[in-house]
Amino acid sequence: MINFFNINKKIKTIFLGLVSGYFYFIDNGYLIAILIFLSILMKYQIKNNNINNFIFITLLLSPLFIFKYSFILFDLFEIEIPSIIENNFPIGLSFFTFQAIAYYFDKNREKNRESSFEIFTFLTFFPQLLAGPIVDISTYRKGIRNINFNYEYFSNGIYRLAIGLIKKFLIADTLSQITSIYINNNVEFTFSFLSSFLLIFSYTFQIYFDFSAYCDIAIGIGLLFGFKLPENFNKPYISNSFQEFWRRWHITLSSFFKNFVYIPLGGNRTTKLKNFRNLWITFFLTALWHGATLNFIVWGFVHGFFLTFEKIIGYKKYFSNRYITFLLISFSWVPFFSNSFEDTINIISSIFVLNFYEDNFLPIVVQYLNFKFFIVLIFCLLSFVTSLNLIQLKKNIYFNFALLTIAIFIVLSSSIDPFIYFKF
Amino acid sequence: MLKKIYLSATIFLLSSVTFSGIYFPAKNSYSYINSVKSIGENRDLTDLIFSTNREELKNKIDTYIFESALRNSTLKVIANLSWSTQTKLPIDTQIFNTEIYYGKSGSLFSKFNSCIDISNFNNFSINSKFKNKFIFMLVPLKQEVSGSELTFLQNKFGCKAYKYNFNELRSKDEEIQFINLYSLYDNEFKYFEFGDTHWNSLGFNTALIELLNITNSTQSFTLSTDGTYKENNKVLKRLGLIDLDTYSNEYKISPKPDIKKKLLIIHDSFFNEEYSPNNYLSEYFKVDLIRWGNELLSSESIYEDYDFVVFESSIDIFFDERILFFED
Repeated sequence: MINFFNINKKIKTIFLGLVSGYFYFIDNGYLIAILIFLSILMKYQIKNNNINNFIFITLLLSPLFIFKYSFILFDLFEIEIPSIIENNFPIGLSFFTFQAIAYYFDKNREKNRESSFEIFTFLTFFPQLLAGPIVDISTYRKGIRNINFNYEYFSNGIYRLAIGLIKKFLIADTLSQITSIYINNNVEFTFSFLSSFLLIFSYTFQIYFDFSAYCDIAIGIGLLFGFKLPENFNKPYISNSFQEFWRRWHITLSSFFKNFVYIPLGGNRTTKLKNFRNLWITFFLTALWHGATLNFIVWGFVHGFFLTFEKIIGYKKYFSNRYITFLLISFSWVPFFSNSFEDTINIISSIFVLNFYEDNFLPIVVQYLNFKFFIVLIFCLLSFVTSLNLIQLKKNIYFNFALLTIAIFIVLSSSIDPFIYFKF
Repeated sequence: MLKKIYLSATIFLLSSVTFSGIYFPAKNSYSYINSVKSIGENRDLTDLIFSTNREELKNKIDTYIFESALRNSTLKVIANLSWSTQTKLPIDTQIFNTEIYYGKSGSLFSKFNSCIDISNFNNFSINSKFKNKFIFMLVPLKQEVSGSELTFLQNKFGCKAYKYNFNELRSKDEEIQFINLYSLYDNEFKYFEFGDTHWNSLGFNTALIELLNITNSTQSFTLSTDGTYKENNKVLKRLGLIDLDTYSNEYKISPKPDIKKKLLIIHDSFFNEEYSPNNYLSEYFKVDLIRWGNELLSSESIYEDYDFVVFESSIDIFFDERILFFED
């Protein structure tokens, strides 16, 4: 399969474009038209340059607005939401829209003159289309030119694929059994310290392992096809501050907002007050990117608040503490997953309730605390010291092959829960 | 050369699951996760690749994976590995994410999804003409009456809500007849099968004798052993993929009632044939069995022909859903 690409980069582009398009079509049907629309629109604008930049970006963002945010207007004017919007959501919409924007502002696009189909292949590139990492065009260009079989890429690709599968199917999905009791049950739960603790930390690790698993799989498959996709995580829970956290968590999204929002607004090379304003706008948009609901706004607010707080007090002097940061970040996930604002308050405040006899969440959770859960607990603790990329072993083909075999066994014995970040 | 072998082996490994489903389907396919939905069409995978019927294509791929011999033998190996430690360790060692969990020595319990105290049953009402006819047989969860088979944590934090709700509901109207299995099962005997979440012969006959005490109150009945029988272990086999030979005492009730009362039993799985044989039941009652359904309570006329109507339900499902049938 890989030798097939030795022929030339055009065949590789066509193959990847068709395969990626087909995969997207299987899951999203005719919503693939959005990707075709973005590709053709992009090529038209690059060639003719007769649309005002503001209007063009608005056009690029229009599918995102229609499918993700238009319900606010429909609700406001009490109009029934059209069924095509209500019943459909193009998976990975936020990710490929941002990639399209990043492509438009790429300095080298004039020199490279990608065709509409090449732009389409870049936007739909199947390993990372659904949930990132957000790839810039230079990564894609390097990958598409890489037509010789690279043994190191291949070996590492297998390794990352295996690690991603284990993270998702063994760790994240086991933790999801705890969190889904709350998320999928429309019940008013009473929590105590114990259950609230279990719920918050299960979600904290679930979202990390789930999302980083997807990225590992994407990076792994990318390597198999000769693409070196950017890393998206770097042991985020060992951060000493919120600032550091955002350099380690969803790195490609942070970079996107930094390059396209924070820095154009003036970044931190301005007055302190304007710097805070830039920070809050960036986090407001980051929250909106996840969804236009109060929960995400609260989540963005919490992060904006702590980043501002760190800047005001000079965190390096007074606030640099790994454990406090981890606890605060864990609590900040509550609005991210809770079903309502009242629940957010309820879950966090229950940390101070010691009476577990009135707890009606704990009796359900106890049923899930099995041997596998304790293995997962060990992995969670390990994530503080390593990102599970056992560097010293990953060049050993026998090790990688054995790991992939184990990963496949784990997948075969698992149920299938969708990745959390698919909905963004 | 080694690299080529490695590459070929990897590609083989990645594609073998689906292909083994296509060319080597398992004889007994386990579907402990999801039952694969069929939408009535049965085209070949190759016909579906260019089809616009994406749901059918996805279902077909699921089918191939679920029926794959490789997947099923993998599950079997993993299940045996986990079971070999299950009986030795005081913790649930299952690998699969299923709706069951294990207590001490591998005794199996079903998971429940809610545990909420309900103290307000003001909307619960029974038409007065049926009060002497209706009998509620709400079967406790196995873990509620088998504390000694649970691990420390499972026992300590177990759900107490269903028993509380049951007592609250009973106190709402004392004219309504309930069979109180909580008190009948409150002793050291085992009333549920080891590898199953349903009652064993003792549990079934204990419930039945109480039913006879209500329907034939002038007679007295006793329970005696009648040899042994092989327990079902159906749930353990279906969800844990372990097939056990467990034997228990078989019980019977004597004497037979002088008059066989006409009984309608609206039931869930406890009155399935394997847990309550029809032939045996018919020795004591003229019985009709109907499964729970929405249409049941819409027509009260169906109750007219019977001396008694028994509503049997697992207690969690009753308080989660079925109680709505009896609300104003």
